[in-house]
Amino acid sequence: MAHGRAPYGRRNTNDVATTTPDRHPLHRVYQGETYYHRPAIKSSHYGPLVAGYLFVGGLAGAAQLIASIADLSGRKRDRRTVRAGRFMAVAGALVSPVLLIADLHTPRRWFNMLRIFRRKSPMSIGSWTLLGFGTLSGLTAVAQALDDLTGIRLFRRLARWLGVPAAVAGGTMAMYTGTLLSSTSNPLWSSGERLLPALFGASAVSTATAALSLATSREASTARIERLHRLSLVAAGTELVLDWALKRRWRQQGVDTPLRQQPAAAAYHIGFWGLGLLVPLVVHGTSRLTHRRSQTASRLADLATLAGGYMLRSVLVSAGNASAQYPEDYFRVTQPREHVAPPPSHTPSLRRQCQEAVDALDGALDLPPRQLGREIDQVENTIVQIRDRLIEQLRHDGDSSVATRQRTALEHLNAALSLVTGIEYPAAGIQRSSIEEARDILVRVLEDNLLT
Amino acid sequence: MEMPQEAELTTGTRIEPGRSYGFFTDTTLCIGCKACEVACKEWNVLPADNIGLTGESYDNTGSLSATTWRHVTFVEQMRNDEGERATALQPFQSHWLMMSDVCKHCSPAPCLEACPTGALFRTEFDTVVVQQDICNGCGYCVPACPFGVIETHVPDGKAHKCTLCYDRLKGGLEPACAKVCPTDSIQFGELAALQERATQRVENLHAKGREDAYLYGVPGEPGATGGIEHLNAFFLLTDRPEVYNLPAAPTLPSTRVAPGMLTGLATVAGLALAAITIFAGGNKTR
Repeated sequence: MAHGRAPYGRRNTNDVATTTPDRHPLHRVYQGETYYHRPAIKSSHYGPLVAGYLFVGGLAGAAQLIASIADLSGRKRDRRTVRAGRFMAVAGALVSPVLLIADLHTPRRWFNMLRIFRRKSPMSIGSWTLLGFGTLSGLTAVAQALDDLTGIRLFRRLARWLGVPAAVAGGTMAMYTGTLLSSTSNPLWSSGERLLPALFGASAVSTATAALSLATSREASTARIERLHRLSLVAAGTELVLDWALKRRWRQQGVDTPLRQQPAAAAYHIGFWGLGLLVPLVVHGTSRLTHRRSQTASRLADLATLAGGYMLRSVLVSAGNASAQYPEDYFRVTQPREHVAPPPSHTPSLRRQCQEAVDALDGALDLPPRQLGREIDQVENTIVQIRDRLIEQLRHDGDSSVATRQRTALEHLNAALSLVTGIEYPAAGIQRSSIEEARDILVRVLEDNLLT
Repeated sequence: MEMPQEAELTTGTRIEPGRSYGFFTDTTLCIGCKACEVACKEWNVLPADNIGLTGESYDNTGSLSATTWRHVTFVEQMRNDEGERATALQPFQSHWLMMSDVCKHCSPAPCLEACPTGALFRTEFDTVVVQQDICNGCGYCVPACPFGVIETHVPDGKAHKCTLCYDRLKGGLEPACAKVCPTDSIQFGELAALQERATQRVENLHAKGREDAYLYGVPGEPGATGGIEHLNAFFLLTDRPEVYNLPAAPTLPSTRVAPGMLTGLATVAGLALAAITIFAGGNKTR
């Protein structure tokens, strides 16, 4: 396209703009503007059914993988793990499509998922992987069952050979759901481009080992269970590292807003990190170091791992849906590379913002009316922000004594806002007393401790 | 002799299969009449929802949805050119920003790439349409769209969005919104011709002193970034895209598939190796 302007996408930041007009709005850094705080993208409709599938599918896939590895490592000593893994895999492979089909808005057309294969769509990849995994796991389980019933070696060998492609499909099942989430425009999910699939994979392995050890821990052989717990330690350790990296990335990108709110924060940190990672690491780690194993503690650790694994997926789905509702977060991660977005400052407290407004009004009192524009605009924006946040808090808290104080604060803020708007759009000239009155109202809000 | 199409008379374009068509929405011409919203709803028999006031200037529609395929945004700006409080109105157009938002019919289209059933497809007019008899409402296109356009409609269970009046195009008529727009803010035509016209318009505006005008969604400009090569429905804007609820540099989500799958597989492979070591190791007694 010949139009004489330096192309935006290839602009060399060292070039002084020659033909590029310097009024180009994209030459200003993004300052947090939004369109009435309306979401710029849409949340998915995914909820417990999909979170359930993420959990069950990953677990089943990893269980098949572990079963094949235990089988091919050639020892009879892990036969119980192998059997349990194969049956767990097929059970998960049967439950998964039920969850997914129930989640469709038009479930009777579920088979349309198999009309095409689209390699760029993780959902298409997943549909075919689930089909392959289910078929292969089913065949493996049948062979395993026949081996158990008849003891004919052919069936055992058949199960072993079928288990290999089933394990490969299982490994894909374990982690592709992370790609499913990250290959969207959602700010929270898309930030985890590589880390989310890795974390889901590690979580699938740790939940599978926990489930396998719970399912087979009735009999005596502790060495076999020890091997499962050793794998659990490795997986949990991997998860710990990946989770740290993911949280760091979210913080850097400034998209962790939903995870800093309750109940998502508690569910993520206590549910996933505490129960799902810390408990098994401590319990299995101690038993390995001290060579003493308490069966109750191990069982509880396994249950905690499973709970944490489900929490991870459930929180990520709901927090992701919430993050789509924050346009600032989305716009922050969709800035062009040349313009580095200003680092997201953690939102100052309401008191601090109110104090800022008071200071700005103080400054405005010293200015002649013609120069008031920016200050008053800034004060208006600040008061509106405080008001919006208060309203959101009130919607959350509803009753309680805090709410009464917040409602009083809201009334004062609305009064101050009216005065400030009157200064911005003066009908009969700017009254200095209006600025003073607005300032006094805000000072009273601060002094009466109405804001947190 | 070929029968003249109505589109030839109203836009000067003949609609032929195999060519690229789209919209050029010049927001400096928009008067905020919302005839486009009404025409779209009438032609496509979409329900009249969004009844009520939002308090957000004249925008009571709010956003695009499964049943709203044109949405006019209003941003009242009262500043002068230096960004200060204006004491007099601009001689050339007020600072009110009005834009008729629509599905961008991106190329390549994130929703299309996300769709596992093939319901979303590229028509012979280079537009993106959801086939209503194939879609099973999996809803994966919804978070994939970088502009928040497409949505599933819970009562009927499928995903819906602007079709660029596919049925009208087949009949040689221009889309309803473009036809009804009284100021020709919404222009329909062949994409290359529209882009040329738009570039010329931007130059004209710059010459008039409106140096903040730029195109959104043409190759190399905001909106056509990160793997999205161009938007068939592109815009002329005069402020940052975020002010109009558009991302400055959206990305094509499918570019994240390969890195994600590889990293995930590598992690699982690493854990598999650890498992092999654990299960194969230990004392040799069987």
